[in-house]
Amino acid sequence: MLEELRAIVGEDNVSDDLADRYIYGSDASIHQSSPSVVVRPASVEEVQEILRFANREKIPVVPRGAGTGESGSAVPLDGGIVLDLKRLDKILEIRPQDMFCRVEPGVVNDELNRQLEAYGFFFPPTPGSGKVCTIGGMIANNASGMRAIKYGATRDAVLGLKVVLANGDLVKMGTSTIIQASGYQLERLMVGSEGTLGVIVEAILRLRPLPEERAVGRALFYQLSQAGDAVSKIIATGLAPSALELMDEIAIKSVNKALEAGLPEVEAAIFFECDGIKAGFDNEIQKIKKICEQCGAFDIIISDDPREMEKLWEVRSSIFPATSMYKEDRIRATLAEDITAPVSRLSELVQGIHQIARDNGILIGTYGHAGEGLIHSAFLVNPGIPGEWDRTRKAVDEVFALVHRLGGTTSGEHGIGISKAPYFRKERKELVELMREIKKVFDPNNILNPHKLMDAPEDFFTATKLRYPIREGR
Amino acid sequence: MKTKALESWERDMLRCIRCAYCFVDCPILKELGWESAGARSKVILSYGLKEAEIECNQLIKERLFQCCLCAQCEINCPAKVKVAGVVRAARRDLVEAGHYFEAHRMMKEMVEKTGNLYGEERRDFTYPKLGAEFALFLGCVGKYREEESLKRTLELLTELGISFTTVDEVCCGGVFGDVGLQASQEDAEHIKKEIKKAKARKLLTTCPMCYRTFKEDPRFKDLGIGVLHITQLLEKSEFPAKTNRAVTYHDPCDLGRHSDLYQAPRNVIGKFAPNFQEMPKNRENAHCCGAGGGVRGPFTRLSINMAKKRLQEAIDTGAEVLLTECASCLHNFKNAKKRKQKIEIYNISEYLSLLMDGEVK
Repeated sequence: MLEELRAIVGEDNVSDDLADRYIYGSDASIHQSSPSVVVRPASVEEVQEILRFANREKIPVVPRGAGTGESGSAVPLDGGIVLDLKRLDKILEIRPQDMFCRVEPGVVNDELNRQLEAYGFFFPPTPGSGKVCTIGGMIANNASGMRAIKYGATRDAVLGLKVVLANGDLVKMGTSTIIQASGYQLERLMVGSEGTLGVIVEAILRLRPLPEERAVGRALFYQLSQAGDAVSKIIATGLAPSALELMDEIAIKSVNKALEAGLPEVEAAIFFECDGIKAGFDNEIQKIKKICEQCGAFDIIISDDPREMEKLWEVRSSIFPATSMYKEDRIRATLAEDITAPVSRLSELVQGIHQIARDNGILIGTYGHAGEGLIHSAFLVNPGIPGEWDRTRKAVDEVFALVHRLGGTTSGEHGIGISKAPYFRKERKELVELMREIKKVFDPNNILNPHKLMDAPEDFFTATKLRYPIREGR
Repeated sequence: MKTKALESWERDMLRCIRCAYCFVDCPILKELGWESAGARSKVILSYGLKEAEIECNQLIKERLFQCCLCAQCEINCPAKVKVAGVVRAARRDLVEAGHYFEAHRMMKEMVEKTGNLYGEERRDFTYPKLGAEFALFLGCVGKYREEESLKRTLELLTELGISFTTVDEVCCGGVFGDVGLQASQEDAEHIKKEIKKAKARKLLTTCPMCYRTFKEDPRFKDLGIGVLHITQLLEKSEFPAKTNRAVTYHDPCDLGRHSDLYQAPRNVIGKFAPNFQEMPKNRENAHCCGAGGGVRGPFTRLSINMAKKRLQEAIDTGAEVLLTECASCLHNFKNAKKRKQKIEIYNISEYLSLLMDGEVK
């Protein structure tokens, strides 16, 4: 295998060394499972050659961007080839007059936005990992972020794709127009397919004009339920904030500890943002403020000063890492971390998660893109305590059962990968066979990221070695 | 392989949320491309070694020593993982298990034999003066690799009427902690004795690595006097010369990210070079020159390539002069500079001395 791959991409871009296999066997999830070899192609033709070879030899191929996924989508379960696509990193074209850009999959999200800024445009999805995650990975997982409430997820910005199929064929999907009529929109099928249907080698992305101005607000609530109600009312009133975020007491305490943020340690805070033309959103932001007050908020801050806004958002964007510092003996395990419910059920979801944490004697913080109904449940685990994983595992089951009961979904923005697959299958049980049939059409030899999504192992805790030590017992 | 040193870093390794923010501006990753070369990966490899999931091989050893310890990753890390601390501990365990680089072992041997990192015949920069205000510690790189620059620094101090005395130096040993080796307690005792003998009010260093070593290394806990970097002294001085040339400044990692001394050198430059052009990556986000962390010995080309990139950033500002205040950075930049590149490179103190003597514009 090594000889063939070296012939395609050159000796320097193939490695089966333990160091590389170990590293490319992990991402930001709890999973660890090594490939047989890592390959770093630099052209579409090389990707095609690799897939032709792999398909012929029936070798699994797992495409990989920056390895920032939290569900194990890029962790290979069957060895084989990890296809590191970061060398395909060119912005091929920016066409503001047509409102799109054409990019290779290894382009980093924030870098693209830096380039687009000069044209007065932006690519709206804003994943927390934006400074390092790649467009290819974002498409494969249909990433979104806090501005999806107004601008949609990655899927809404993908106009067209070039995809290398399992047999090495290169196909063009979609268009470079803002609209298109009927016909199977296969480019949309590719979004969120987590590398199971093809390898994305080029994307045509819809751009949006940069808003002229924005303003950010923050409101504090003594009770979590009050904050949940405020979010639901803001949405129900027909307001269109460009972000609407919630953080609970654990999240507040975490950022206070990590950043010395100095927030009053109440049960909840919400952050909101409106953008566009100032005259337009001033009224909107005042309405949001009023709703917050009606729901019992206090200490409401609103600012359009760039430095002040940055400071406010810094608090919000620091929660993920800050929770890993909440208590000295706890680590942040990425589990059930992007569950999403209908917005009107947000309060029930968040309070239900806290009840599950109490029932199981573990810690779970909650925060997230409340305006989208998305909650990041932060499982704070002490892997050294015997039985902690068992309790955690039970709580994960219960959290997913809760979100399904509320009419929500397993994953709002991070993807299914390995960790969420059993719950995804429960949620979409009538679609699993259909999805398998679709995969067979695209990938008859099942070489593309096999055993993920609908085909992932039933028990995600034992599907791979976990990145944390597990102490057995009660 | 036993991983005694890494044991105490378990919490940091587990706290890492693997977000990969540390990949942003990791100079080694930018050069080598493979994820295994990036900062996050060094933490993962270290944890793998500690948990005995992997055994050290040649590439794992290389990856863990291919790190300048520039600590850009620590600035970018939202979970505040002390990546450089983890890497130093991993190196200690690797060396303990016999996985070291000959270039590093040789440095140790040279210091044992000659008192300096290069095994050079002792060069005396003797400016003895009893009762001087400052005991001046010069450092190996300046003395044995950037001698002309260092002489200029000494001339400047003399011209400014700074009361200083040199001491009988041996290597401070700071680099050994970075490459997994044990620094000599005996040498530390010698240095402390010499400094005490000088009866100075403060210890003045020209080298940022020596500065950091005297401030942080437990061997110097009982040093007994305060430590100043030369830029902290110069920012309080006035200079009878100015330049109108465009200058830029490179933050040495040991002075900036490791010692939080960003403003003092800029204050000094501000006194004589009003046409100052900041590089886009500056202060805590300054790209590393590639000289640190023991990379230069075993991975010379890698180190020089990083210096080339940083030098280009300096050139891109339009500056005619690149200033820094670190003999290691200076040395690496000079090695990286191509003949056709017109930019001049100096330590701040060196340039000031030349300027005051009318030898540069």
